[in-house]
Amino acid sequence: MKPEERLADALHATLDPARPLPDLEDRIVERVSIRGRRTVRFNPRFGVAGAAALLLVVVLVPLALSLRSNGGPATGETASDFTSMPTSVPTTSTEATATSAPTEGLAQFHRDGLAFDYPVSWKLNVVEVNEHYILVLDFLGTGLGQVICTAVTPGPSDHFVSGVECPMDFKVDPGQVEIRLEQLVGLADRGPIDPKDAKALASGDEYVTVGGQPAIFRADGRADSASGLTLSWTLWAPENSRFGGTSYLLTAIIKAPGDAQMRAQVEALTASIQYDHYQSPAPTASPS
Amino acid sequence: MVAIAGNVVLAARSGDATAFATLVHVETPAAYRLALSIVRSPVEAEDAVQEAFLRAWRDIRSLREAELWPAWFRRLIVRSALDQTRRRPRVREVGLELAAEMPGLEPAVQPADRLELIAAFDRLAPDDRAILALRFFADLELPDAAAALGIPLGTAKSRLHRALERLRAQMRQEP
Repeated sequence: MKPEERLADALHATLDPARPLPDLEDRIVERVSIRGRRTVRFNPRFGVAGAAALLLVVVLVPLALSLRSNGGPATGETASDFTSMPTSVPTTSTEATATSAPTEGLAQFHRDGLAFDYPVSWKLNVVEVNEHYILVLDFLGTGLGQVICTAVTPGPSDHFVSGVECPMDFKVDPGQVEIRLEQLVGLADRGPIDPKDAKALASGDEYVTVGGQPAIFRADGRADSASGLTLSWTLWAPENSRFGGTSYLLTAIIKAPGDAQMRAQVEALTASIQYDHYQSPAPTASPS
Repeated sequence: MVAIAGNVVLAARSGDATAFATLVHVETPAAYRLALSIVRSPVEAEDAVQEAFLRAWRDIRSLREAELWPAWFRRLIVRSALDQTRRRPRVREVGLELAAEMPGLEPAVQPADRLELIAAFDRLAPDDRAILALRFFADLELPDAAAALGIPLGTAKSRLHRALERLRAQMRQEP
């Protein structure tokens, strides 16, 4: 037997019987669901051609609660698409009122067919990632939430990995909340959400109303656990762009202490969401 | 590798956690064995598998086509396993940890020359174990092994040659 064959024989003899602990798969699935990168499900209405996923990610990262007292607008919100408007006017949301959201100043987010208010002490990082293998990346402001993309340089024989990898992990310390907003297209697009369709809900999902439209809400985990409390809203904005409706996924992770207040802030944010209604630009008279 | 239906991969890529759980269920045993062949510690192998799946869940949107999943995921496994060895370098009694925890590796049921060979394999550097395991345990052709390691084919050829030389040298040495 050649040495290579002996090695193959020895490796198979020793490794083939090897089994991981029985709960490994459960632990992996649990960790994946805790991370909650996405909770949307495959929509068969979209074919493979629609798999070109254009993903818009906006990461909102607040300061630690200890920094809250500093107040003032977050730095870096200088893009024309954003307006930072410190105000003492609380949100008009009944949900926010019901959860005793703090009445600190609010900044307004208005972009990509979506508008909402968020505490002015939070930091806003804007990240645009085109997942169709063309990367456009913007950061506005500073914060713990960021997407760091690295180019993958394939070797001569590496025919299946190329482009860019963009990990989008949450980085939430105790006493912090982080929100990630994604725009979902292609396979990820949920399309119109029908609250009468019970089969569309995964276990733990529930239908809610956000921005006057049906949405899907889900809560996982606990704020006092290492992975924190994960709240997610799958949103559908009808006719908010010239291409039609848009799916969004808003995911928040909250870690104690101070989780009750942070959850109230997040719920106030979602309660303030408004969708744009796209209007075709009026025709302009062309010079004759 | 177990064949994975393309629609499962597509669904997982679209964010379907249930579909991804199916991938976890199907892939975990083989992924664990491949990781174990590199890290040589059951605990580290489990850590590597977990890390690989978390990376897969995080980055699966970058997977262009469903049929590329096996090679793509294999690369994540190898990368995670090698990361484990770099993250926690340590000197271990060769073979003892495996022998204690893996069925079939007890000295009583293994021929002596097989144990010597495995002991020599354990003494190799992780990169050497990786190329040898991909070639002779995962039974990959060299281009696929190179792809799993993320190295050019020429580099894989020379690494395999040197790994075999070092394995022979290890076998000539007393443990």
